[in-house]
Amino acid sequence: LREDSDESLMLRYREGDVRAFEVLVHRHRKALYNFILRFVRDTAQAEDLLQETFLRVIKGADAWEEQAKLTTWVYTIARNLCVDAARRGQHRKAASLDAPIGDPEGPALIERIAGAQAGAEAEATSRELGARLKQAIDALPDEQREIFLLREVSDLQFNEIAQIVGTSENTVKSRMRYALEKLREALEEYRDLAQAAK
Amino acid sequence: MNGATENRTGTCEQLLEYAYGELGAEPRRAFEQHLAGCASCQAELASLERVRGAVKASLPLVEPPVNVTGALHAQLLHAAAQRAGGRGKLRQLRRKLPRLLLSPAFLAAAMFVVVGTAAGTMWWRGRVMMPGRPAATATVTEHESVNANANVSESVNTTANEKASANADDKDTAFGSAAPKAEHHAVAAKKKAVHAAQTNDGLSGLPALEPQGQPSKLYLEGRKEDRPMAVERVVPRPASAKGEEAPLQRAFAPAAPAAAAPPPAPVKATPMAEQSDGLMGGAEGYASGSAESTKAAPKPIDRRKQAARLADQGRCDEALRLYQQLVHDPSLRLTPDERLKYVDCLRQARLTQQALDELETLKREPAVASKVRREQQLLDGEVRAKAKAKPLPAAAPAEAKPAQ
Repeated sequence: LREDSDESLMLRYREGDVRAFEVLVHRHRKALYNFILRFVRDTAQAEDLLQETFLRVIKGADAWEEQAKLTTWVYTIARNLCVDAARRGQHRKAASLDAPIGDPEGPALIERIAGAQAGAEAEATSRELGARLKQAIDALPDEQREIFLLREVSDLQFNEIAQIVGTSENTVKSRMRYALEKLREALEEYRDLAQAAK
Repeated sequence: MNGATENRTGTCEQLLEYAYGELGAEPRRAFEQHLAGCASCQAELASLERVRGAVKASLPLVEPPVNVTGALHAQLLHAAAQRAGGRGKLRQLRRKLPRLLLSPAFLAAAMFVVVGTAAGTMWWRGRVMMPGRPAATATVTEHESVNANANVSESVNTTANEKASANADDKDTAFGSAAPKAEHHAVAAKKKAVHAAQTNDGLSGLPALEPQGQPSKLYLEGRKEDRPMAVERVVPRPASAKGEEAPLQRAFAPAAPAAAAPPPAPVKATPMAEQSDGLMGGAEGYASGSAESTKAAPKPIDRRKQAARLADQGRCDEALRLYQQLVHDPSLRLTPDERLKYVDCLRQARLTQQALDELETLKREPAVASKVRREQQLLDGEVRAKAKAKPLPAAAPAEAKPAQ
């Protein structure tokens, strides 16, 4: 089962094999959770939406067409739920901005991207950079952020993202470019500040 | 990305796809050739990779919190199994039908129906042959006689009915239209017979009936005065015998065909709580072989005991897993107390909606009414707390792992 494609697992599940669905959940829950979490920026809501996404997959299993890629369908459900939640304004941005995400014990960000500084100062700088980048992502317009997240977090291709979002592939790429440009600006702004502080 | 340059070409537009590895082999090779000679693309690519590297480092993929994973897993499997059960129900039935038809339970049930119908028909024929007997009364009596489900009242009922009908027949023959009086006699005879049966037939566990003429509200609830007294209603049927009250939306248990259902347990007037306590008791037997029995395909009774024990010990995750299996098992029917424990486990696993659904079905069980109310209060409290503010799970940061 573990080697089966998503689509064949879904078919098996439709035949009544619950184990196949279990494998599907195990395979996609992490990426889906991260996509939803970055989208709604609220841990508790992300948990609920993740669950709701899978429940809708269960309910709509018969509606899924074999020709369609399963991930596209699942992410369409998740994305629609996120958009609805955002529209209802139930997410709390303030909580998520301070919510710790990532491994605090992991290597410092600055070491990975600059490789210059080391020690406590570098670590503090790295944390600050991470926070700024995260703020920059949160500040992206929803239509850019969702595409950025689907590409970077969920690792979906541009044509799949276009199907999920319901727009053309060129629009998707254009939005992605805008999103990357804004993040690059945030990164450079921070680097300038860091250099000025030296 | 780093500001468009004047000499950008159509090939430069492929930078994004190239960076994300979406170009096919041939276009990729073509772009790499272009890249070697395009300073603008080189700078933009480097910038893009820097941003992506920073993003990956600052936003590693996090694992869903452990409690979410567990609860989600249980809930999803529950829903998936429910759906799969529903879909495969017809197929399963078709597969099981030959086996079911030959099962002892089915044969016993069939025998019961045949004998009951034959007896009822014979008795009814005897009744309708008599002149001056109101047909409606005869129908009602026959219906109640045939449909008597409680074991005790079954034999009692037959005796009482025979006696009553004999009396009625006598009267009918003699006076033509003495049906009301005959019914009165029938009622009295049934009451007497029930009383005698309860005091003499070994069912000492039954609560004593109230004196004749003052029927207990509890036991005669719903009785209509204008009917012959339905003796079979005197003793409450166990919950398991109430097919119509079985929760239709039970989580895992695809409804077993009625014919294949195990025959109703002998009527005992002990409260459900006591029944389940008895089930959960017997700690010596459990302690002696529980470990092995759980490893090697334990019997349902062992699993039930084990689940109850785990729930009592507060090991709700394990208990929940067992209960999920038990609820799945179509050959089993959990007692209200067990189902209450199951609800408690669901609540502790934060499967609030599922717990509420299960609790809804338990509300019909008078034996656990107070416990149900208490559980309902707990769940309501949780729902309110969740609606008010969902606390961030402390496990989230600890679970975080850098993206691969």
